[in-house]
Amino acid sequence: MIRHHPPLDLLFDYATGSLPEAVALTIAVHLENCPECRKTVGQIESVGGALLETLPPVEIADHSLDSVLARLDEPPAAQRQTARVASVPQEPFVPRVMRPYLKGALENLPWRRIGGLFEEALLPISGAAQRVSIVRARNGGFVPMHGHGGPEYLAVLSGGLRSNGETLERGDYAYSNASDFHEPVVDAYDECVCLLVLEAPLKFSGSYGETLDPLYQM
Amino acid sequence: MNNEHLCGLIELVGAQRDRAAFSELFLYFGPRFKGYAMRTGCRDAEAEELAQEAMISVWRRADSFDRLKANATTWMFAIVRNKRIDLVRREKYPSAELEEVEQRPADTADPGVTYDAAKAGEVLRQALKTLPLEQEQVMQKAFFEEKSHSVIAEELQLPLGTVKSRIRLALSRLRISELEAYA
Repeated sequence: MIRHHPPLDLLFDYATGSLPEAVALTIAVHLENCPECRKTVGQIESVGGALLETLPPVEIADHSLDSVLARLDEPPAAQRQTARVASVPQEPFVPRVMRPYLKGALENLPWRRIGGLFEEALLPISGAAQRVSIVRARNGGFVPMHGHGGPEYLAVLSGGLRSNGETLERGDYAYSNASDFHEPVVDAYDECVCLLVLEAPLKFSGSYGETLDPLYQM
Repeated sequence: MNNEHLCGLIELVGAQRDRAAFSELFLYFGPRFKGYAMRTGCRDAEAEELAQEAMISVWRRADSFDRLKANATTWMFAIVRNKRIDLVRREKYPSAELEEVEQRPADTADPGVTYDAAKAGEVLRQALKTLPLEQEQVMQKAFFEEKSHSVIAEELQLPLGTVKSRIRLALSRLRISELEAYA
């Protein structure tokens, strides 16, 4: 059961098309499994629909319809990529909206082991200013206590973690900002896999700062 | 054109590749898409292109439209929004709501409440006209200038909390939470 959702203002910004692609991805990932938030986003989009109808329509060029009709049989450029993406066997918990961002199976991403605590694979999104990655940890793993230079967006894809007394499981969403500190721990599940998007560096406490801060610059 | 009719047209396009239905949709939404594009800052040629590309998107995605989940203009808005981001920002906009309907876990619709899309749309359009100026301003910036809460706050030199509450007030004036209750 999903208990943790994106804040309303984030859902709103998503619905109006005001989020950068990487952040929008975390919301879309959550929406894929959350009917409640899909309904909220749909309601905000209905405002967009009403605005579409209240705006004065602007005349379209005469030949436009004909030239569009002529193009309807063109296969979309994205079709080849979609077919390729669909043919890669993928972990079932990887959301459909995320699949085009993975070059291959989850298992074959460039995983980097971080001191036996967790693993991370960076997910490049072209043009994105954000740092995007998939983070996974086994039972007993954790991300050491850290603060944030700016917003952090986390969508739990599989398993679960515990952070500041809250349990987050598959489908849950966590937004953190510069005033938040936490040390997410995987202690009730075999494994936890999350999509993580950062807009600013992380600052690790104590001796971890030296080894981990450099990995979490932007 | 009422919602019922528009939904029917989209469904004809999705199920039967009906070009007459598509043309009717084009003649209705094309100029509205172009109006949206220009309101977001596109010049004529760019807006024209955006309208055409968005209609091609409509053709491609019509089979995933579900009139029980959204009314026609809501769905159209999502399509043109994503196309604007594609063409103007050159970014993809991941959209779970435009994905294949049957692939998603079933939505838990309350069987006791039927969503009268036509009535809801009319209520919304009327309510939009009555928004206080400061609420209208933030809504315009959000929908037409693709500004997030924090960008709006910065631009208007307001605390983030003020922008949040103006948007929430606007949404409640637009009876967003009550739309489901119209039957």
